[in-house]
Amino acid sequence: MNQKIWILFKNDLASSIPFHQLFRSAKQGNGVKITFAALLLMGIFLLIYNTLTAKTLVSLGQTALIPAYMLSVSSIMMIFLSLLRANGTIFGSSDFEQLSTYPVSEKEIFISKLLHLYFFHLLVSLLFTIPVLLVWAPDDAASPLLILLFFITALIIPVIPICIGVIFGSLVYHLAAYFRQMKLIAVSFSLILLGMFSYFIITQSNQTSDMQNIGAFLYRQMTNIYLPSVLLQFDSADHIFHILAFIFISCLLLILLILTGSKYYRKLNLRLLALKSNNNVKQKAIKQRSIFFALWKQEINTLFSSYNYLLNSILGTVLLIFLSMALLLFGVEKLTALIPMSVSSGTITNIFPTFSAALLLISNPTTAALSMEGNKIWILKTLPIEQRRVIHAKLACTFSLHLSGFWISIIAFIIRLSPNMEQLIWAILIPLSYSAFITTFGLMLNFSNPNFSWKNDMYIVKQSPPVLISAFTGMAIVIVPLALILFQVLPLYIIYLALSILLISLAVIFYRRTCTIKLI
Amino acid sequence: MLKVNHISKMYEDGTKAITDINLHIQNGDIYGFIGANGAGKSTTIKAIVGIHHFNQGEIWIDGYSIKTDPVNCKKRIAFIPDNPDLYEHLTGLQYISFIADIFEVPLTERKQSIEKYSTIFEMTSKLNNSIASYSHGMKQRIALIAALVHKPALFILDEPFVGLDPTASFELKRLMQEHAENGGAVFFSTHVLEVAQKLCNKVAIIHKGSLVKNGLMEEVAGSKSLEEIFMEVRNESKNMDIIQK
Repeated sequence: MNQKIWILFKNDLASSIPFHQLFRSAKQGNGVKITFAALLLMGIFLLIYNTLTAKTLVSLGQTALIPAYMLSVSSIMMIFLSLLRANGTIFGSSDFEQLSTYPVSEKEIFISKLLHLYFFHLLVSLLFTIPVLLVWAPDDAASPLLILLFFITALIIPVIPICIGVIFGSLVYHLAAYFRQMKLIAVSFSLILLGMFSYFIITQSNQTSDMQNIGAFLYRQMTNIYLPSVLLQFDSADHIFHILAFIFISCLLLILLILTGSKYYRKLNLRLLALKSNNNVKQKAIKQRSIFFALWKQEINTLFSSYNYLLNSILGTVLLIFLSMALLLFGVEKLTALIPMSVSSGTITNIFPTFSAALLLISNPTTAALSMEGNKIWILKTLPIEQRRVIHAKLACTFSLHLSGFWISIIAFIIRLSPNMEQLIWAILIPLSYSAFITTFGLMLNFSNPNFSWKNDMYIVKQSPPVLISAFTGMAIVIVPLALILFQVLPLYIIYLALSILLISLAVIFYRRTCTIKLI
Repeated sequence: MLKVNHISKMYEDGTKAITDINLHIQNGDIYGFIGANGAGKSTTIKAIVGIHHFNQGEIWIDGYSIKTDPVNCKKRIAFIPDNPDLYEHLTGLQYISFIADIFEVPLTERKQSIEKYSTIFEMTSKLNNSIASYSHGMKQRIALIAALVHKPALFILDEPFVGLDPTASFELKRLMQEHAENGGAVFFSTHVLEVAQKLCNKVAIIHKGSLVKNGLMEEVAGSKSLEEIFMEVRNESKNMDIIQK
């Protein structure tokens, strides 16, 4: 590999994940250690889950399907990831100006950025390919040639998802660049794209109904969702040419992407840079606002100023608004028809509070709210205000976001599910309790572990310790009550009452704790 | 106005950043703070304005302790850092308004101040531009206007002349003098020794985290230039290092 590309890639990687801090003293390296531990834990869970899935396929007599199934599922996951990650890594990246001053070609920069994406995607794909090697490879049907081909395919598999992510990501920015509110439009386009992609997956996976032949069912489901799966067949040596065709197509796509993308890289980034320095701002009258409003407005402005921060922060709320609107427009029956299992209206009413709360948990800008101050933290530190006010503003920003989705969901719930008084109380109390819990928890984590010296906000927004810990905790506090409700372990009102008391009490503790953590 | 009493700061690895710093800035003072890169100027200033904590000593601003009553201390300060990283997504006017809101500057007063200082620093036509589009000097000017909008008693400036063009630099010096004459105080760090000598009535020289000279300009410099004094301090230190080795 070209030496310059390698240096650029290593530098880019070190900026996004500071590996070197892993070996530093306890306090300095703690953040990175937590990040690695959380990612490792997540990886181990996924690895175990995929190994169990592969073993289930063996027990169903579908051993030959394992490689294709795992590669297809990992590809779909990688498409989602690359749609979320391509912008910010290649286009609209904060290091564009700095990189432009180096004696390297645009093609070299572009390839190094692709390598960056490839590295992360390969790590994800390994979580799917390792179980294949553990379960499928020892099987008699897997010849050494097929195993070798699988190994090569596993290395190639991130290429198509990356190409899809980069092409769509650049399209999003290209279209958004025509608007004054570029970042908001870009995030809206990205959300529409993710929504369309999710809808496509749901509808395509429901199109096959022949459950008698599980092998044929899974094969059709895979190929319906991810077309390149037709070439990923490792059941016999007859399909070698299919696999070779897949490798060839992937390589060809990559070459085309490099050739066209590297030409477009500078043009699009320059356009984005010009928009960043947009001077076409409407002159507004000077007004006096309260300290709280000024700080809250500043938080909202920060949220809307970063593509990565906004996209990650509003995903859950937008999903809640979208599903609530869908519920209002189409009713319960049409929506439940999209789910591949029968769910009664009563169950929907019972789990609605936890479901809407779960979506709010995804939207949690407080986990990065303090770190997002970056090198501007001196401003907050020198303002003549109590730390409590800063905390209130940061919490209020997230609450505002949650409330915007919450009230629509409640209206949809009342109109379409006609709840009784008790159900309505839970539908209000539970999401609010979750919201209070996760915002205070996220902010406490960020205050305990702030990072102001970042170069790319992607690290802060997507993989910083507060974000990962908050995501894990969020998952746990949704799964446990949901399981208790679905398996009817305890009466619903006991679960919800206990949950709301617990979450609100914890929120109070977290809030108090955050107030005691000194910024200075 | 500002009393810095025996403050010391040590980093987590045990390295001493500043040791036993004593400063006394009174109303009417323009106090220059001089030192080589890494001498401890910014650390001292950041401790005064409440950005960094310090291990020993105490800082008083108008009788309020920065440790126990930071809010009252900060109300009296205008701080400009050496590299003004501002909220780039805001316009200059939005940023100034944000600071004015926090300092609760009344509407008519803030309008007058914004008009006055943006005219002085030639930023009137650029106030509605995004800060992201500003040059370093323009950011510095916006930071200055925002810092002055609440009429602070004490200016604390870290390398204020870096990035400013000659006109803005001249206006800033004039403002500093005017502020001191009106009973305010100015404390600033600089590498431009000629400016410090012309502008300041008091000066402190910091070397390797400790104050080596401190007092009235005439006492510190005598008949020599500040540059000569500064070089003497450096050379003495070098000689001491050689002797110790």
